[in-house]
Amino acid sequence: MKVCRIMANKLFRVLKAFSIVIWLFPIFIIKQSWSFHYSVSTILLILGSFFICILFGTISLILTSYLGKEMPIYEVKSIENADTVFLPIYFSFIVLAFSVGTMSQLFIAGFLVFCVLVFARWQFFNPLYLIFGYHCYYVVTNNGVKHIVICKKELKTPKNIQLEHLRRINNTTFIEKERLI
Amino acid sequence: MNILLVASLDTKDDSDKYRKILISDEEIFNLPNYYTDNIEYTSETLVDENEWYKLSSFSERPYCLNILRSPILSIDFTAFKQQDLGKIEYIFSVFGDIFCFQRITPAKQIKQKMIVFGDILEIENKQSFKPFSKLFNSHVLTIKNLPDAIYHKSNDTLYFRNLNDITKIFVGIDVLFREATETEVINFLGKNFIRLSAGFSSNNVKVQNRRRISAALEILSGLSAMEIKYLSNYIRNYCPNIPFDNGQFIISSESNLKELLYGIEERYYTTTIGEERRLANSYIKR
Repeated sequence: MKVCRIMANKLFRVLKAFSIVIWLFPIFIIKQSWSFHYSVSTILLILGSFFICILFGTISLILTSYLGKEMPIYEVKSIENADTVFLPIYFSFIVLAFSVGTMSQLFIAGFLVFCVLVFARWQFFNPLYLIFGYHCYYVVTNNGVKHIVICKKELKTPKNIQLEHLRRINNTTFIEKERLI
Repeated sequence: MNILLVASLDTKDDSDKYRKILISDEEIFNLPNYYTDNIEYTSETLVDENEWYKLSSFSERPYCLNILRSPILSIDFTAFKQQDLGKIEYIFSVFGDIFCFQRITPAKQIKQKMIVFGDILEIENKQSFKPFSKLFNSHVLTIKNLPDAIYHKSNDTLYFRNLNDITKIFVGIDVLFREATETEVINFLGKNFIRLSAGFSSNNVKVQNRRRISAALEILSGLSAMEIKYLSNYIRNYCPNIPFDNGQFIISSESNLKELLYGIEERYYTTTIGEERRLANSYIKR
Protein backbone atom coordinates (compact mmCIF):
# COMPACT_ATOMS: atom_id res chain seq x y z
CA MET A 1 0.00 0.00 0.00
CA LYS A 2 2.79 2.36 1.00
CA VAL A 3 4.72 1.52 -2.16
CA CYS A 4 1.60 2.23 -4.22
CA ARG A 5 1.24 5.56 -2.49
CA ILE A 6 4.81 6.59 -3.26
CA MET A 7 4.44 5.44 -6.87
CA ALA A 8 1.18 7.35 -7.14
CA ASN A 9 2.88 10.46 -5.83
CA LYS A 10 5.60 10.27 -8.48
CA LEU A 11 3.10 9.48 -11.21
CA PHE A 12 1.01 12.39 -10.07
CA ARG A 13 3.93 14.78 -10.40
CA VAL A 14 4.58 13.58 -13.95
CA LEU A 15 0.91 13.83 -14.82
CA LYS A 16 0.67 17.37 -13.52
CA ALA A 17 3.68 18.49 -15.55
CA PHE A 18 2.33 16.67 -18.60
CA SER A 19 -1.07 18.32 -18.28
CA ILE A 20 0.63 21.72 -18.41
CA VAL A 21 2.98 20.96 -21.32
CA ILE A 22 0.15 19.50 -23.39
CA TRP A 23 -1.28 23.04 -23.76
CA LEU A 24 1.44 23.70 -26.33
CA PHE A 25 -0.30 21.39 -28.80
CA PRO A 26 -3.65 23.10 -29.44
CA ILE A 27 -1.90 26.45 -29.78
CA PHE A 28 0.58 24.94 -32.23
CA ILE A 29 -2.19 23.33 -34.24
CA ILE A 30 -4.10 26.62 -34.45
CA LYS A 31 -0.96 28.37 -35.66
CA GLN A 32 -0.10 25.72 -38.25
CA SER A 33 -3.56 25.53 -39.76
CA TRP A 34 -4.20 29.25 -39.59
CA SER A 35 -6.61 30.35 -42.35
CA PHE A 36 -9.99 32.02 -42.59
CA HIS A 37 -11.55 28.92 -44.04
CA TYR A 38 -11.28 26.11 -41.58
CA SER A 39 -12.16 22.66 -42.75
CA VAL A 40 -14.31 20.54 -40.46
CA SER A 41 -11.44 18.17 -39.78
CA THR A 42 -9.17 21.02 -38.59
CA ILE A 43 -11.84 22.32 -36.26
CA LEU A 44 -12.33 18.81 -34.89
CA LEU A 45 -8.58 18.46 -34.41
CA ILE A 46 -8.39 21.75 -32.53
CA LEU A 47 -11.40 20.90 -30.36
CA GLY A 48 -10.05 17.42 -29.78
CA SER A 49 -6.66 18.71 -28.63
CA PHE A 50 -8.35 21.18 -26.28
CA PHE A 51 -10.50 18.39 -24.95
CA ILE A 52 -7.40 16.31 -24.16
CA CYS A 53 -5.86 19.27 -22.35
CA ILE A 54 -8.99 19.75 -20.26
CA LEU A 55 -9.25 16.01 -19.59
CA PHE A 56 -5.70 15.73 -18.25
CA GLY A 57 -6.07 18.95 -16.27
CA THR A 58 -9.27 17.67 -14.69
CA ILE A 59 -7.73 14.32 -13.80
CA SER A 60 -4.78 16.03 -12.14
CA LEU A 61 -7.16 18.29 -10.23
CA ILE A 62 -9.25 15.37 -9.04
CA LEU A 63 -6.15 13.51 -7.93
CA THR A 64 -5.02 16.42 -5.76
CA SER A 65 -7.80 15.59 -3.32
CA TYR A 66 -5.96 12.35 -2.50
CA LEU A 67 -2.82 14.11 -1.38
CA GLY A 68 -1.81 14.27 2.29
CA LYS A 69 -4.21 16.09 4.57
CA GLU A 70 -3.26 19.15 6.59
CA MET A 71 -4.68 20.81 9.67
CA PRO A 72 -7.22 23.60 9.07
CA ILE A 73 -6.04 27.21 9.21
CA TYR A 74 -8.17 30.09 10.39
CA GLU A 75 -5.68 32.88 10.84
CA VAL A 76 -2.49 33.90 9.07
CA LYS A 77 -0.09 36.81 9.20
CA SER A 78 -0.49 38.03 5.64
CA ILE A 79 -2.04 37.14 2.30
CA GLU A 80 -0.97 38.24 -1.15
CA ASN A 81 -2.52 37.35 -4.47
CA ALA A 82 -0.02 35.50 -6.64
CA ASP A 83 -2.00 34.97 -9.87
CA THR A 84 -0.08 37.67 -11.69
CA VAL A 85 3.23 35.99 -10.86
CA PHE A 86 2.27 33.11 -13.13
CA LEU A 87 1.05 35.24 -16.07
CA PRO A 88 4.51 35.64 -17.73
CA ILE A 89 4.90 31.87 -17.57
CA TYR A 90 1.67 31.32 -19.50
CA PHE A 91 2.57 34.00 -22.01
CA SER A 92 5.95 32.39 -22.58
CA PHE A 93 4.08 29.15 -23.29
CA ILE A 94 2.05 30.82 -26.01
CA VAL A 95 5.12 32.49 -27.48
CA LEU A 96 6.95 29.17 -27.45
CA ALA A 97 4.12 27.41 -29.25
CA PHE A 98 4.03 30.11 -31.91
CA SER A 99 7.76 30.24 -32.46
CA VAL A 100 8.43 26.58 -33.21
CA GLY A 101 8.16 25.66 -36.85
CA THR A 102 7.69 21.91 -37.10
CA MET A 103 6.07 19.15 -35.13
CA SER A 104 9.47 17.64 -34.20
CA GLN A 105 10.64 20.99 -32.85
CA LEU A 106 7.47 21.16 -30.82
CA PHE A 107 8.13 17.74 -29.33
CA ILE A 108 11.67 18.71 -28.39
CA ALA A 109 10.54 22.02 -26.89
CA GLY A 110 7.68 20.26 -25.09
CA PHE A 111 9.99 17.60 -23.68
CA LEU A 112 12.47 20.20 -22.41
CA VAL A 113 9.71 22.22 -20.74
CA PHE A 114 8.37 19.01 -19.25
CA CYS A 115 11.77 18.11 -17.79
CA VAL A 116 12.21 21.59 -16.35
CA LEU A 117 8.77 21.45 -14.76
CA VAL A 118 9.38 18.04 -13.20
CA PHE A 119 12.83 18.80 -11.85
CA ALA A 120 12.05 22.33 -10.71
CA ARG A 121 8.94 20.95 -9.02
CA TRP A 122 6.95 23.75 -10.51
CA GLN A 123 4.00 21.76 -11.72
CA PHE A 124 1.25 22.84 -9.43
CA PHE A 125 -0.56 25.56 -11.26
CA ASN A 126 -2.24 24.52 -14.45
CA PRO A 127 -3.82 27.26 -16.64
CA LEU A 128 -6.98 25.19 -16.44
CA TYR A 129 -7.27 25.88 -12.71
CA LEU A 130 -7.81 29.56 -13.54
CA ILE A 131 -10.73 28.58 -15.74
CA PHE A 132 -12.11 26.42 -12.94
CA GLY A 133 -11.96 29.44 -10.64
CA TYR A 134 -8.87 28.64 -8.59
CA HIS A 135 -6.53 31.38 -7.46
CA CYS A 136 -3.01 31.41 -6.15
CA TYR A 137 -2.03 33.15 -2.94
CA TYR A 138 1.17 33.72 -1.04
CA VAL A 139 0.27 33.07 2.57
CA VAL A 140 2.58 33.84 5.49
CA THR A 141 1.62 31.85 8.57
CA ASN A 142 1.83 33.09 12.14
CA ASN A 143 5.15 31.30 12.46
CA GLY A 144 6.48 33.44 9.60
CA VAL A 145 6.68 30.71 6.96
CA LYS A 146 5.67 31.61 3.40
CA HIS A 147 3.54 29.18 1.40
CA ILE A 148 1.67 29.11 -1.88
CA VAL A 149 -1.99 28.24 -1.39
CA ILE A 150 -4.26 27.42 -4.31
CA CYS A 151 -7.95 27.76 -3.53
CA LYS A 152 -11.29 28.79 -4.93
CA LYS A 153 -12.08 31.13 -2.06
CA GLU A 154 -11.41 34.82 -2.13
CA LEU A 155 -8.77 35.35 0.56
CA LYS A 156 -8.60 38.91 1.82
CA THR A 157 -8.52 39.35 5.58
CA PRO A 158 -5.61 37.52 7.19
CA LYS A 159 -7.35 37.41 10.58
CA ASN A 160 -10.36 35.55 9.34
CA ILE A 161 -9.85 32.88 6.73
CA GLN A 162 -11.15 29.37 6.40
CA LEU A 163 -8.79 26.88 4.85
CA GLU A 164 -10.20 23.62 6.10
CA HIS A 165 -9.36 21.07 3.44
CA LEU A 166 -5.75 21.83 2.69
CA ARG A 167 -3.73 19.20 0.87
CA ARG A 168 0.01 19.12 0.42
CA ILE A 169 1.29 19.29 -3.20
CA ASN A 170 4.84 19.84 -2.02
CA ASN A 171 6.44 21.33 1.06
CA THR A 172 5.66 24.89 0.06
CA THR A 173 2.53 24.46 -2.03
CA PHE A 174 -0.92 23.53 -0.80
CA ILE A 175 -4.29 23.25 -2.49
CA GLU A 176 -7.63 23.62 -0.80
CA LYS A 177 -9.98 21.01 -2.14
CA GLU A 178 -12.57 18.74 -0.63
CA ARG A 179 -12.47 15.07 -1.47
CA LEU A 180 -15.24 14.24 -3.90
CA ILE A 181 -15.67 10.58 -3.08
CA MET B 1 -10.82 14.52 14.51
CA ASN B 2 -7.55 15.73 13.04
CA ILE B 3 -4.57 14.53 15.02
CA LEU B 4 -1.25 15.75 13.74
CA LEU B 5 1.77 13.51 14.24
CA VAL B 6 5.16 15.19 14.03
CA ALA B 7 8.63 13.66 14.23
CA SER B 8 11.66 15.46 15.55
CA LEU B 9 14.84 14.44 13.79
CA ASP B 10 18.33 14.30 15.18
CA THR B 11 19.80 17.17 13.17
CA LYS B 12 22.32 19.86 13.89
CA ASP B 13 20.04 22.52 12.47
CA ASP B 14 17.41 23.31 15.06
CA SER B 15 15.19 25.31 12.73
CA ASP B 16 14.45 22.38 10.44
CA LYS B 17 14.20 19.36 12.69
CA TYR B 18 10.47 18.76 12.65
CA ARG B 19 8.70 16.64 10.05
CA LYS B 20 4.99 16.14 9.57
CA ILE B 21 4.33 12.39 9.54
CA LEU B 22 0.59 12.28 9.03
CA ILE B 23 -2.79 13.56 10.04
CA SER B 24 -4.88 10.84 11.56
CA ASP B 25 -8.58 10.46 12.13
CA GLU B 26 -7.93 7.83 14.78
CA GLU B 27 -6.35 8.30 18.17
CA ILE B 28 -2.63 7.68 18.04
CA PHE B 29 -1.94 7.46 21.79
CA ASN B 30 -4.18 6.27 24.58
CA LEU B 31 -4.70 9.09 27.02
CA PRO B 32 -4.57 7.83 30.61
CA ASN B 33 -6.27 9.53 33.55
CA TYR B 34 -3.27 11.74 34.19
CA TYR B 35 -5.60 14.57 35.08
CA THR B 36 -6.80 13.18 38.35
CA ASP B 37 -3.80 11.28 39.65
CA ASN B 38 -0.79 13.50 39.60
CA ILE B 39 1.84 14.89 41.92
CA GLU B 40 4.12 17.88 41.43
CA TYR B 41 7.56 16.48 40.66
CA THR B 42 10.27 16.35 43.30
CA SER B 43 13.19 13.96 43.19
CA GLU B 44 12.15 12.52 46.59
CA THR B 45 8.71 11.39 45.45
CA LEU B 46 7.95 8.14 43.70
CA VAL B 47 4.69 7.77 41.82
CA ASP B 48 2.36 4.79 42.08
CA GLU B 49 1.30 2.59 39.18
CA ASN B 50 -1.32 4.94 37.76
CA GLU B 51 0.02 8.23 38.98
CA TRP B 52 1.78 10.87 36.91
CA TYR B 53 4.24 13.57 37.82
CA LYS B 54 3.43 17.07 36.74
CA LEU B 55 5.45 20.21 36.17
CA SER B 56 3.32 23.33 36.23
CA SER B 57 4.04 26.60 34.41
CA PHE B 58 6.16 24.54 32.09
CA SER B 59 6.56 27.10 29.31
CA GLU B 60 8.53 29.37 31.66
CA ARG B 61 11.15 26.70 32.28
CA PRO B 62 14.35 26.83 30.25
CA TYR B 63 14.05 23.27 28.98
CA CYS B 64 10.60 23.80 27.46
CA LEU B 65 10.64 23.32 23.69
CA ASN B 66 10.26 26.45 21.59
CA ILE B 67 7.68 24.74 19.48
CA LEU B 68 5.33 24.58 22.46
CA ARG B 69 5.46 28.34 22.74
CA SER B 70 4.41 29.05 19.13
CA PRO B 71 1.28 28.09 17.20
CA ILE B 72 1.37 24.65 15.58
CA LEU B 73 0.50 24.60 11.88
CA SER B 74 0.93 21.40 9.96
CA ILE B 75 1.69 23.26 6.73
CA ASP B 76 4.78 24.81 8.29
CA PHE B 77 6.39 21.39 8.71
CA THR B 78 8.30 19.67 5.94
CA ALA B 79 6.80 16.32 4.98
CA PHE B 80 8.42 13.20 6.43
CA LYS B 81 10.39 11.22 3.87
CA GLN B 82 11.31 7.56 3.96
CA GLN B 83 14.99 8.51 4.24
CA ASP B 84 14.25 10.25 7.52
CA LEU B 85 13.51 6.95 9.20
CA GLY B 86 16.33 6.09 11.57
CA LYS B 87 16.95 9.70 12.48
CA ILE B 88 13.87 10.22 14.63
CA GLU B 89 14.57 11.30 18.21
CA TYR B 90 11.01 11.60 19.38
CA ILE B 91 7.52 12.04 18.01
CA PHE B 92 4.62 14.07 19.28
CA SER B 93 0.97 14.26 18.44
CA VAL B 94 -1.04 17.44 18.56
CA PHE B 95 -4.76 17.54 19.09
CA GLY B 96 -6.24 20.83 20.19
CA ASP B 97 -4.05 21.96 23.06
CA ILE B 98 -2.90 18.49 24.07
CA PHE B 99 0.59 17.39 23.04
CA CYS B 100 1.63 13.76 23.55
CA PHE B 101 5.35 13.05 23.42
CA GLN B 102 7.05 9.74 22.93
CA ARG B 103 10.73 8.94 22.74
CA ILE B 104 11.69 6.86 19.68
CA THR B 105 14.81 4.76 19.97
CA PRO B 106 16.63 3.56 16.82
CA ALA B 107 15.36 0.02 17.51
CA LYS B 108 11.81 1.19 16.89
CA GLN B 109 12.62 2.49 13.43
CA ILE B 110 12.67 -0.66 11.37
CA LYS B 111 14.02 -0.98 7.86
CA GLN B 112 13.99 -4.63 6.92
CA LYS B 113 12.17 -7.42 5.15
CA MET B 114 8.89 -8.25 6.77
CA ILE B 115 6.21 -10.85 6.44
CA VAL B 116 2.76 -9.58 7.10
CA PHE B 117 -0.15 -11.86 7.85
CA GLY B 118 -3.81 -11.34 7.26
CA ASP B 119 -5.65 -8.06 7.60
CA ILE B 120 -3.71 -4.89 8.02
CA LEU B 121 -5.15 -1.73 9.40
CA GLU B 122 -3.06 1.20 8.41
CA ILE B 123 -3.60 4.21 10.55
CA GLU B 124 -3.45 6.49 7.55
CA ASN B 125 -5.76 4.53 5.34
CA LYS B 126 -8.60 2.57 6.86
CA GLN B 127 -9.70 0.53 3.91
CA SER B 128 -6.36 -1.02 2.96
CA PHE B 129 -7.01 -4.70 3.34
CA LYS B 130 -4.55 -7.41 2.46
CA PRO B 131 -6.07 -10.85 2.19
CA PHE B 132 -2.77 -12.67 1.71
CA SER B 133 0.39 -12.83 3.72
CA LYS B 134 3.08 -10.89 2.01
CA LEU B 135 6.81 -10.40 2.09
CA PHE B 136 8.05 -6.94 1.42
CA ASN B 137 10.74 -4.44 2.26
CA SER B 138 9.25 -2.33 4.94
CA HIS B 139 9.92 0.93 6.66
CA VAL B 140 8.09 0.80 9.92
CA LEU B 141 7.92 2.94 13.01
CA THR B 142 6.56 1.18 16.05
CA ILE B 143 4.96 3.22 18.79
CA LYS B 144 3.77 2.43 22.28
CA ASN B 145 0.20 3.06 23.31
CA LEU B 146 1.10 5.28 26.22
CA PRO B 147 2.89 8.57 25.60
CA ASP B 148 5.99 9.35 27.69
CA ALA B 149 4.87 12.87 28.41
CA ILE B 150 1.74 14.93 27.91
CA TYR B 151 1.73 18.69 27.69
CA HIS B 152 -1.42 20.65 28.26
CA LYS B 153 -1.21 24.07 26.72
CA SER B 154 -4.32 25.48 28.39
CA ASN B 155 -3.02 24.98 31.94
CA ASP B 156 0.64 25.01 30.90
CA THR B 157 1.47 21.74 32.61
CA LEU B 158 3.65 18.82 31.61
CA TYR B 159 2.65 15.38 32.83
CA PHE B 160 5.08 12.47 32.76
CA ARG B 161 5.85 9.12 34.39
CA ASN B 162 9.59 8.76 34.27
CA LEU B 163 12.03 11.59 34.04
CA ASN B 164 14.66 9.36 32.42
CA ASP B 165 12.38 8.73 29.44
CA ILE B 166 12.00 12.40 28.61
CA THR B 167 15.51 13.74 29.15
CA LYS B 168 16.19 13.25 25.43
CA ILE B 169 13.03 15.13 24.50
CA PHE B 170 13.33 18.11 26.83
CA VAL B 171 17.05 18.70 26.81
CA GLY B 172 18.17 20.04 30.17
CA ILE B 173 15.22 18.72 32.18
CA ASP B 174 17.65 16.49 34.07
CA VAL B 175 18.57 19.48 36.24
CA LEU B 176 15.52 18.34 38.20
CA PHE B 177 17.52 15.43 39.52
CA ARG B 178 20.73 17.27 39.73
CA GLU B 179 23.73 15.14 40.59
CA ALA B 180 26.39 16.44 42.90
CA THR B 181 29.56 17.45 41.10
CA GLU B 182 32.88 15.81 41.91
CA THR B 183 33.93 18.68 44.18
CA GLU B 184 30.61 18.54 46.01
CA VAL B 185 31.03 14.81 46.57
CA ILE B 186 34.55 15.33 47.91
CA ASN B 187 33.28 18.19 50.03
CA PHE B 188 30.53 16.00 51.47
CA LEU B 189 32.76 13.01 52.13
CA GLY B 190 35.20 15.32 53.86
CA LYS B 191 32.64 16.43 56.47
CA ASN B 192 34.01 15.89 59.95
CA PHE B 193 31.38 13.33 60.95
CA ILE B 194 32.38 11.05 58.07
CA ARG B 195 35.45 8.90 57.80
CA LEU B 196 36.15 6.85 54.69
CA SER B 197 37.52 3.40 55.15
CA ALA B 198 40.42 2.29 53.01
CA GLY B 199 39.37 1.39 49.48
CA PHE B 200 36.38 3.69 49.34
CA SER B 201 36.70 7.12 47.77
CA SER B 202 34.61 9.64 45.86
CA ASN B 203 35.24 7.64 42.68
CA ASN B 204 33.15 4.80 44.07
CA VAL B 205 30.04 6.94 44.50
CA LYS B 206 27.41 6.02 41.92
CA VAL B 207 24.74 8.16 40.24
CA GLN B 208 21.91 7.48 42.72
CA ASN B 209 24.02 8.52 45.71
CA ARG B 210 25.35 11.55 43.88
CA ARG B 211 21.79 12.79 43.52
CA ARG B 212 21.20 12.22 47.23
CA ILE B 213 24.45 13.97 48.14
CA SER B 214 23.28 17.03 46.25
CA ALA B 215 20.12 17.10 48.40
CA ALA B 216 21.99 16.24 51.61
CA LEU B 217 24.45 19.10 51.17
CA GLU B 218 21.54 21.47 50.92
CA ILE B 219 20.09 20.13 54.20
CA LEU B 220 23.44 20.22 56.01
CA SER B 221 24.12 23.80 55.01
CA GLY B 222 21.06 24.84 57.01
CA LEU B 223 21.98 22.97 60.22
CA SER B 224 23.89 24.20 63.24
CA ALA B 225 26.67 22.15 64.87
CA MET B 226 24.25 21.17 67.64
CA GLU B 227 21.67 19.97 65.17
CA ILE B 228 24.27 17.91 63.31
CA LYS B 229 25.11 16.23 66.62
CA TYR B 230 21.44 15.39 67.14
CA LEU B 231 21.30 14.14 63.58
CA SER B 232 24.23 11.78 64.06
CA ASN B 233 22.62 10.39 67.21
CA TYR B 234 19.43 9.86 65.25
CA ILE B 235 21.30 8.05 62.48
CA ARG B 236 23.15 5.85 64.97
CA ASN B 237 19.85 4.92 66.50
CA TYR B 238 18.32 3.81 63.21
CA CYS B 239 21.41 2.52 61.40
CA PRO B 240 23.34 0.35 63.84
CA ASN B 241 25.17 -1.34 60.99
CA ILE B 242 27.13 1.75 60.02
CA PRO B 243 30.32 1.52 62.11
CA PHE B 244 30.61 4.54 64.43
CA ASP B 245 33.85 5.49 66.04
CA ASN B 246 34.97 8.60 67.86
CA GLY B 247 32.10 10.75 66.55
CA GLN B 248 32.59 9.65 62.97
CA PHE B 249 30.64 7.31 60.73
CA ILE B 250 32.95 4.94 58.89
CA ILE B 251 31.77 4.58 55.31
CA SER B 252 33.05 1.53 53.50
CA SER B 253 30.41 0.88 50.82
CA GLU B 254 27.70 2.39 48.68
CA SER B 255 24.96 0.91 50.86
CA ASN B 256 26.52 2.43 54.00
CA LEU B 257 26.58 5.78 52.29
CA LYS B 258 22.97 5.39 51.17
CA GLU B 259 21.79 4.68 54.70
CA LEU B 260 23.69 7.68 55.99
CA LEU B 261 22.19 9.92 53.31
CA TYR B 262 18.69 8.65 54.10
CA GLY B 263 19.46 9.55 57.71
CA ILE B 264 20.47 13.09 56.78
CA GLU B 265 17.16 13.45 54.94
CA GLU B 266 15.49 12.10 58.13
CA ARG B 267 13.71 9.38 56.28
CA TYR B 268 13.73 7.01 59.25
CA TYR B 269 10.75 7.17 61.56
CA THR B 270 8.76 5.21 64.10
CA THR B 271 5.02 4.91 63.68
CA THR B 272 3.16 6.56 66.51
CA ILE B 273 0.72 3.83 67.47
CA GLY B 274 2.27 0.58 66.23
CA GLU B 275 5.78 1.77 67.16
CA GLU B 276 7.19 0.16 64.04
CA ARG B 277 10.51 1.46 62.78
CA ARG B 278 10.35 2.38 59.12
CA LEU B 279 12.20 3.93 56.21
CA ALA B 280 10.39 6.33 53.91
CA ASN B 281 11.33 5.18 50.42
CA SER B 282 9.57 8.21 48.96
CA TYR B 283 7.93 11.18 50.61
CA ILE B 284 5.72 14.17 49.94
CA LYS B 285 5.98 17.31 52.04
CA ARG B 286 2.89 18.03 54.11
